[in-house]
Amino acid sequence: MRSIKKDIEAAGARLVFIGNGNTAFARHFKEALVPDCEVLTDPSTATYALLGARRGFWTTWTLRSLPAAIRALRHGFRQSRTRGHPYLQGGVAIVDSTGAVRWSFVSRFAGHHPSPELIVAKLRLVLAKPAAAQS
Amino acid sequence: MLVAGDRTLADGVVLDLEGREVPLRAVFKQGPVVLVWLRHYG
Repeated sequence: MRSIKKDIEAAGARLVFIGNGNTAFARHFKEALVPDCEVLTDPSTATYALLGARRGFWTTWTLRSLPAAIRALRHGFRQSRTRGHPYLQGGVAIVDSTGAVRWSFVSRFAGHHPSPELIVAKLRLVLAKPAAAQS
Repeated sequence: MLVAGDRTLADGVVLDLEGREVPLRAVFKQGPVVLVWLRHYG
């Protein structure tokens, strides 16, 4: 995701990560993985609820996650100790300066993510159109 | 969803790295943003 930060900024937006662990976990995440990105955290998970994020054991432990897990391993990613809620899924939203959500994606299970290219394409599309023109 | 009851995403409050409350509304006010909610930090 960090790889598209420049594309997001070139389109006129910012990339902000929101995690769900405590602030120490968030600081570690920023320092270790995304030092040049804005990181916030939501231990209450209230904003996850507003996003409509999925949660539950079977959203993490599902065969549907297997292809993404294999893909991640092939690319050298290894999950370290879980810091935060283990059975809470994430998502992505593009929000304009009025607070209007112009596009969103809610992960249905672990490893279910929009591609970075899709996020940039959606961002360029929504910022090219006024909010009222969105379908 | 992005709406829970009568609350919307703009009503959400998160914490910065120092533990200070940050209303999402203040994050949006600075301009368009791509928000990524992480599964966890691991």
